[in-house]
Amino acid sequence: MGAGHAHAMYVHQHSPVHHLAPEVKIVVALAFTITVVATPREAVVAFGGYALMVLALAVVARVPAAWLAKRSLIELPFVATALLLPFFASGPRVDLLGLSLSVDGLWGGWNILVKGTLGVLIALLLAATTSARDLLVGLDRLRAPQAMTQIAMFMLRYLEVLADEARRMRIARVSRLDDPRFLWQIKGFASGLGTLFLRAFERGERVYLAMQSRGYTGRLPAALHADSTATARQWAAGAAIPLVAVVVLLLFGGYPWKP
Amino acid sequence: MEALRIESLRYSYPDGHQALHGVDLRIGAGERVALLGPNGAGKTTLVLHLNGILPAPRMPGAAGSVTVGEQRIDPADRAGLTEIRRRVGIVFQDPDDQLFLPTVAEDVAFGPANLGLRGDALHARVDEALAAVGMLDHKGRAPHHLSLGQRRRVAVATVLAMRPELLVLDEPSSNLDPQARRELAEILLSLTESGLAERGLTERGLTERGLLAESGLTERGLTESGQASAPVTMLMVTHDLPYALQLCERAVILDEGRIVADGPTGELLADADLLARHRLELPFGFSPHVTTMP
Repeated sequence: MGAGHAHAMYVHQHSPVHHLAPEVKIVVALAFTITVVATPREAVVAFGGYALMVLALAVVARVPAAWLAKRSLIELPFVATALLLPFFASGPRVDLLGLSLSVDGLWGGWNILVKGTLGVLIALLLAATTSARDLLVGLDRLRAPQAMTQIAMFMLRYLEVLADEARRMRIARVSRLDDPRFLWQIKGFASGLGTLFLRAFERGERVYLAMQSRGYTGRLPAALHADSTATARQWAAGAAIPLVAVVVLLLFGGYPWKP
Repeated sequence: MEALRIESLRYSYPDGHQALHGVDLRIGAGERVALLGPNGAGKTTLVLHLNGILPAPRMPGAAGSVTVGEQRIDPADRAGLTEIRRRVGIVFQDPDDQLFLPTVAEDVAFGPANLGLRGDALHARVDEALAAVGMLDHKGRAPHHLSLGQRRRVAVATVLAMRPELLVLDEPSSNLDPQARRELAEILLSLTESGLAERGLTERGLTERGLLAESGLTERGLTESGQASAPVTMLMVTHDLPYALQLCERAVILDEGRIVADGPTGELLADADLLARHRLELPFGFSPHVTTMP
């Protein structure tokens, strides 16, 4: 059951990864990311192992490589930092292609680059295989505070309603000869924002009344999302991923080992 | 048998504005009644009294009583309110207020899940309610991808899923295009004429599969499965006078917090003076005298 086709991040597919219960995927993604981050930056082979695992997961989940590549552009600001580090860090230096680079900076840049990329790819795989609604259901089952999951659930539902209202208000403004150009737009926009807030606030009250009328007492009933709760088998299958990552870490992370 | 009895109901908002000045109204089981009245007459305030949203417990400006079936509403009795809210289903005017979950199916499941239904019993409830409004095919869709007419039908389903005895609709026809307006009328007529049981909305099938025992509802909602075969009573709040004539045999006019007229809808609408006194008007070209029921 997906929430229509409104999700920018979700890649609609039927794969074992897609069918895994969301709470399993969230825990797996988190554990995998922590393992990656806990790996010493010098353990190049371990990172290679993780990259292979991410690749395998992407293939199993049938997430197109081009999609992953495009979406991981979000990482660019961090890449810039990583590229600058070798030039500005202090400590012993090494000459490479006529440039004097800091050894420590090179490792630091590599550290950011490899861990950032792997982390982003893991998060993207989670987003591509789990709809926003399912992510919230998963968080709820993992006992995330309901105040947060409910607010996010409402946002999911009402963002488009609000955007629609904003659009209508803008059209009404423009129809009365408001001339929305860069800075001049701000006054109309700001007062529009105030109105929008008030409308959203009033709607919130009406929604609450309607919920109360249907027996709401402060908690969303768990039975709403009782389908496809994680089975022991799903947990076992999911746990295999971070376990393999930990094995890679122990084999190649080589804590006593330094270059 | 009476479905609803309101006795000298008074209500003042906390700011001192008095909205209801002693409302008396009795509605029999299976009746379809239109509640007419100008803006600011107190219609919405009255509706919110029907399932105990108003008044808040120990509110100074509140007096009188509302009785649904045999149960008098007591704002301080939480368990009693749950039962009242199961028996009285309110469909609010803006479906975007009513539908707050990401998918249609979840939203329809919200009410019955609050009553304690789970698993297959819950699914069955959702399906039958959506089938009753012809929206079963849109189960997995997001509300904002539906047309207003479809959203309003789903809003009706969210309330039907609780198997209400009294269905209250606030301006059901507002902003609908003519076709959506007619489709909704047909659905509402079919619900109240045949009763829920004859549409397959019986508990028996569920009991046989042993689903009720685990739903925890055997004590509360489901003991009245005998009553579920009674047609649903309907109270429709509206300005749309032709719609009232089409759907309701009886109408009451509420103005300035009082019931000022009560009678067959056709007769009330034919009384031009009465309508004018209470800021109601028939649409141009419409005559209640020459209209025959379709």
